[in-house]
Parts: sequence; structure tokens; C-alpha cells
Amino acid sequence: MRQRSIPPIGPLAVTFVSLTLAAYFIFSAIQGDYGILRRAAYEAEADVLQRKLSTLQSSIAQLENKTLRLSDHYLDLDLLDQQARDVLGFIRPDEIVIQ
Amino acid sequence: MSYQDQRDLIHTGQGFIAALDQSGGSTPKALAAYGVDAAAFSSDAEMFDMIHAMRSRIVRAPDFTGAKVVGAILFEDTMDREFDGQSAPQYLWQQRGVVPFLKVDKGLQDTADNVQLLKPMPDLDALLQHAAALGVFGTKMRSVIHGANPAGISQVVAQQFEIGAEIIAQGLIPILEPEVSITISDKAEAENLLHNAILTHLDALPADQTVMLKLTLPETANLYSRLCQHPRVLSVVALSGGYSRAEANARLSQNSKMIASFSRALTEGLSAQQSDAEFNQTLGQTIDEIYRASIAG
Repeated sequence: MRQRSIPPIGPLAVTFVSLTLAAYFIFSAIQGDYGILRRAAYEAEADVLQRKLSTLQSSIAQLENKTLRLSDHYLDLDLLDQQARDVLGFIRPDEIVIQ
Repeated sequence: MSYQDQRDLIHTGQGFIAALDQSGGSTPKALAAYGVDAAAFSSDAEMFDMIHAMRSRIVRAPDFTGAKVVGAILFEDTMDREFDGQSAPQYLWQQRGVVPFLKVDKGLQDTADNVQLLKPMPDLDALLQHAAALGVFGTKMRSVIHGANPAGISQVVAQQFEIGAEIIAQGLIPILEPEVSITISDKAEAENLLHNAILTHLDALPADQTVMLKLTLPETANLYSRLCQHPRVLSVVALSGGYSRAEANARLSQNSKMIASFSRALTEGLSAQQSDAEFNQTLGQTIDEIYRASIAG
């Protein structure tokens, strides 16, 4: 009696699962949260934040410089004159404001 | 002691240029730091008188002479007052051998092209004639550079030299002060642009005109030595702009031809309650420290 051939289900299943996993990982590697496309977005965002950080650091340095130069033990008279005019709107007794 | 003596004293530069302002320190806070609390005066006029008393005490101190303090930059209010019955500029020069300068700028415009230009000075000529009559030797005006912007820097230098020409026409020597902010990241580049712009204008100056320069201590040592030796430059003074005294002194010593010009009030450590001897000794130490740094270069 001729034996009926049973299809090789095991290997097929393994192949199918492998292909599925491969496709999933390839997809994740490109589109996933930690994929290449998202990495580019992260890098762009990091660049923006880095620039914002250096801007903030620069203005902190400027403010620290002004604070030092307007402190009792330093008192830069030129800067005092400038800030009194710019910030407080002061002028000297013999000056007039033309608007 | 003549005008030529004043030029020689500034040119040889064995000392520093101090800032001497009455109204700059006339706030109650400054008086409190000097040991005079608000109860001691009841009006602005009395407050100004007290500050002026402190100023008078400073200029009469034994160490406040041309031997160490070659010049003093006055604000207008101080120029119009008197020391020991003599006009402040004349007293400084005739009694103390200190060359008087006057700060003439009226503040800065808003930042544009990374720089702040000088505000207009409508009655500059009248002020200069008044100052010359009182014996003032020169003037000072300050603009500020906040970045290495070629267009902005050339505007600053052009304005300084243009107003400088007006000042020279009235017989005074202008101190041109384009300050480079010490907190900017491209300071070295800004200083190179500034150096080249100034050099161009100096070369264009007529042979009978002389200026002084007040420049921030540079990133590159001796960057301004060519300006120091330029025939149209009487002296180049260094501006600390916020560097600590130690760093300013260290940088100053790397720039051999520059002398110090600290805008800082000389009132550090001084107090109304001190005896004259203590007052003079404290002031003498401050003057001596800045003097040593200035000639160390």
C-alpha cells in the first residue's frame, strides 16, 4: 500500500516564523521607536536643544558678568551708568530727553 | 606743569587710569557701604555733599598722585565740583599731578548687528568747550561689541573715530573705548576684526591728530601691540570688563604696552569711620595693587 506523503510542517513553520520575525525586526529597525528614522529625529532634536543650551549658558555668563560688575566690591562705573540709563531710565541733571 | 607734561605722563604710562565719579556712587547703597547710613542725610543735596566729601578724601590721599595714578576719568558732575576750593580737573592736575579726563557719552543704543552704538550727544561741542576751559585733558566714550559681526564692528569703530574727530577739533584727546564683551564665545575673532578696523582708521588720521584707545584685555597676548606703537596713538589702556582682578592682572602682564584703566570705584574697603591714617593706608594698598599690575606688563 502506498504511504500518503505528509507535508514537512515543522520546517515550514520554522521558516514562516523566522521570516515573520525577520520582517518584524527589519521594520522595527527602520520605523520602530528606536529605529533609524526615529534616531534622525532624536539627533535633530538634540541639536536644537544643544543650541538652546548654549544660548542659555551665554546669557547666564552675561548676567553673571553684569552681577559681578555691579557688586559692591567691583562696581564698574561705566556699566552702572549704562544700566541706570537703560533699566531705570535715569538721566543726568543737565540732560533732556527728546522723544 | 604744561599740556606737554600731561601728554608725556600719559604716553610713558607708568601707572593706571582710575575712574572717579561722584554720582555713580551717590546711591544710598554706596554710601552705606562707605559707612554712612540713610539717617545721616535728609536730602539729595546732602547726599551728594557726603559722597563728594568721600571723593575729596580719596583725591587728597598721599598715594593718589601722578606717580601711580596717571589719569582720572571724571563724570560731568564731578568735573563741575571743587576740591579744596579749586575746580576738580585743575586740582587733580596742579595739586596731584593726575591728568583729568571726562566721560562724555550719554549711554548706548539698543543692540543691532551684535553691537551697541553710542547714543547721540547733541550738545557735545558746548560740553567740550566747558571741559577744556576747566582744564580737562581728554574725554572717554564707550560702545559695546557683543559678537564677531564685521558690519557691526566697523560701524562702532567708524562712529568712535567720527566723534573723536570732533573732540580733537576742540583741543582734547579722545579715549576711544569699543568694549568687547568678555562673555562672548567668538571674542578672539571679534578682537581681530576690531584690531583691523582700528588700524585702518588710524592710518587715515592726519599727522597732527592723536587718540587714545581703551580696549578689553585680548584673548591673544599682545594682539594690540601694533596699535600701541602706532604714531597716531598716545596710549592704549586696558579695560578689565569683568575679569577678576587676578585674571585682569595676569592678562595685563601678557600685554606689554597696555596700561590699566579700571572703571572700578576706588572705594573698596574705605569707610567714613576710618581715621585718616587707616583710610589712606587702605586706599594706598588698592592703588598700589592696581599700579603694580599696570606696570608689570
